[in-house]
Amino acid sequence: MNDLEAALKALRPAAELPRDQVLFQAGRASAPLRWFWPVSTAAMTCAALVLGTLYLVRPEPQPVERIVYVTQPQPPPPEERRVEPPREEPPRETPTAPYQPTEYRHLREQALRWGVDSLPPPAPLQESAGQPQTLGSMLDSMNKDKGSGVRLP
Amino acid sequence: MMRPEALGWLIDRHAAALVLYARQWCAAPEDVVQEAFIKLCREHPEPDNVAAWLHRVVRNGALSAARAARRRLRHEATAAARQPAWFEPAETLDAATVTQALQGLPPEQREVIVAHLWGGLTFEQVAELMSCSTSSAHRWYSAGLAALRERLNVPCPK
Repeated sequence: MNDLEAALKALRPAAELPRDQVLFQAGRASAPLRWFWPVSTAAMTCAALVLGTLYLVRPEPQPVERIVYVTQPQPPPPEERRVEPPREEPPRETPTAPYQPTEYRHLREQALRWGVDSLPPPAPLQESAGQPQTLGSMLDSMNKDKGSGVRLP
Repeated sequence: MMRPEALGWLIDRHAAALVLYARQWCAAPEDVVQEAFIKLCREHPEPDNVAAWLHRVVRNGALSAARAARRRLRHEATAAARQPAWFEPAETLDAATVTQALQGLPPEQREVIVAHLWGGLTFEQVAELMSCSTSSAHRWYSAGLAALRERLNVPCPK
């Protein structure tokens, strides 16, 4: 490099380049483009404008006349009154009611209500009251009833 | 993605030379250089030789800007009169004289000198930039230096 080259190279080019602005613009340009939010915002804005316009210019709703036939419900026929037969009260039990030996309950109520004295006299025994029953006679009667040949010892 | 420190270093290192390089063709070289740096940040992957890449982008941008400006400006003399000095004031050489001398050179000689001296590109890179051979670039450079020496009244070294 000779003297002229060195002298020329020593000259500094005049440049008024805004360094900070270049750095800012370069950083902004190097950022990846994100299209989702701008596009979605623009789309929603357009949709809102269209819907607002449609809302403002929509026609008045026309009333619709319809004839509706409604059948009036018939009143129900008057109900016939039932004539209930008069109750017949059960006859009052008296201590003189006929005695039924199988009805223990009846006898019990009668004893509780009127006392033991109101009970009818017990039915007479079938056997002769004069002779007391013995074991042999009872066995004989039982064997006679069954008619079988089983004999008790 | 280029780190801000690297980009700042590139601006400090090449911006002035690129502005001078673009100033040969257009009246607003700062805009062209700024666009070149922004374009560099968008490059993926980064170019192998950033300086040569920047010079190529600046050259294309400056030529495009010159074509657009030529359509707008009718009077080139008026536009040339508005051009600021190409160099900052120095003690060794008069900046205005050097500017006039450079402007008077043929375009290819001026481009080679600016790209090699202030841009720091090799003759191979300058030749690739100008789409010419290396010997042509070297020949234009020598012829341009001789013309400058004569216009600046700098005696030849013995």
